[in-house]
Amino acid sequence: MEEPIVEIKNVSFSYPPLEVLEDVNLTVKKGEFLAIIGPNGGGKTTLLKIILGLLKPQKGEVYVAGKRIGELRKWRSKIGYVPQAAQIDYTFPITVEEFVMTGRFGLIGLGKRPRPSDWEMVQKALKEVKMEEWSKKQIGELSGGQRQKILIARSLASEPEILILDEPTTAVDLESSESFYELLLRLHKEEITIITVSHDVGVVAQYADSIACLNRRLIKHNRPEEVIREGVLEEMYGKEAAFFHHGVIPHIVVQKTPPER
Amino acid sequence: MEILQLAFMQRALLIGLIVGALGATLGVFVVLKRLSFMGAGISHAAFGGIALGYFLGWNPILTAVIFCVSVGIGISMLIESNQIKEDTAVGVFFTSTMALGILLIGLKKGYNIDLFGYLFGNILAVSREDLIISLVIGVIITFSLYFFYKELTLSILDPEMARVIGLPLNFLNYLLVSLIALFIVISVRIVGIILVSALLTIPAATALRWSKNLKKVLAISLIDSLGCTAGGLTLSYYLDTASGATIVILTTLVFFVSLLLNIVNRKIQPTA
Repeated sequence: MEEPIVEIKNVSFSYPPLEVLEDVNLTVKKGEFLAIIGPNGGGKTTLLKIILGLLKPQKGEVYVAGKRIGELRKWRSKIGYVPQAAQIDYTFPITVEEFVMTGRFGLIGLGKRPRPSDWEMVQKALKEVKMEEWSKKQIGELSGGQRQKILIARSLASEPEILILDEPTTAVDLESSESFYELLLRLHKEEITIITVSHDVGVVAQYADSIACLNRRLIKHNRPEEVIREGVLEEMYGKEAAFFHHGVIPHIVVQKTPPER
Repeated sequence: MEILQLAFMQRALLIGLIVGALGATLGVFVVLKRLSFMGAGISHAAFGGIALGYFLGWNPILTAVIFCVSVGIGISMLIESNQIKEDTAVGVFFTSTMALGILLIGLKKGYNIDLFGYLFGNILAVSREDLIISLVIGVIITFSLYFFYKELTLSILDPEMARVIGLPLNFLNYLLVSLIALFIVISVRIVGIILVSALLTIPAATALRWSKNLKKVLAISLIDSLGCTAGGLTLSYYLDTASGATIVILTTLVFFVSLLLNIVNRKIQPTA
């Protein structure tokens, strides 16, 4: 559990003239469940995209499993990704199970076809998110919440060692959201490294090993209770944020909007 | 049937069916990736390529292959660099390559070129050599689509995910554009430069309204295209009309009738 799996060193990124990330240093250990929180425009999604190699930082280095992302080759397929605003064409003629199968394309290899064992993994992933009955439906027939679930299933289908999630419970109803975090906990027990971006500080604080507070700079990376005790949240979200308590951990409501949409 | 006993009709039908089948399958990927206009652009560049071949004294078809692939990849690179928008890039290239063609033909005075045949198709001009080139290119296109079926699908469906898992996205884009260029060059004899993008767009557009399963879409597009090519060629023989135009008009008729049926069908069963 002590071995670093993601190392972010002195990373700065800007869409000139806008500086999005400034000198960010963050180490994620193998098997860690990390939640990244922070205000909108704080650079959370940008940081995830840098880890994934979708964006190249102007300064600094990122290592995944000890290598630069461009040198990862086959290991890349061990990274599961659930994007926030997926650039997916939902009119595309493809069924739910075929869509989830695309998560395994990196494992299957160039020019090869899925085998029965691949289809078994797809069904298993669909069961995890309770979408197995929708296997044969076209992806355009799904609701927003269901679309989110098949994105999660796709990331699981790749049998990931690192799971990177960008606001995974957006558009998912409360019940599904809870069972989703239970699912993450189970994966966490299997030593899968989880990096998730979330608005829902109260919820992730119950599940995550550590919380990283990001607002252009990395303000804090520590255990949830430490982050909350030290008043980092007020510093980050400002006075407009309202807190309410649920057990020992305060829920945060940013700009007085409810945490679940 | 008497028309099948004519050697030129046999060749025309054979090359027509090859072209129809390739356009139908490749076209599904083109329409899904919204590259129809790119297809139209590259087809006009084929004119520049053919003229260049004549001007240099090279085989016009092979020169056009190299020229069109270069233009297609050039447009893609320009779009990727975010310097120019896609429609603008295509608009600039297809007019300028055509202008180049006209210029080069003008410079080669006294040379008798079947310009009309290249623009609108001329099945009488289909030679054995054309047939062989078509077969070879047909095999290349079919093999590429089959081999990269899975990768092309993901690169169109979700390019971001394709990049995350490390698919060679640029290569796949250039591959698709190159296949379009190859297809266009071998179709020129049948329907001509002006009409060729119809084969790449219309059967696929028809099929995409009837199924939400990619393999079925490919099958419907294939049947539609083969039927219309064979039907159009036969009609053009009996009606003594231009073969390329007849095929395109027939394909378009099928598209509109199918569209109408599709709309009526959806009104009856709104959830289907």
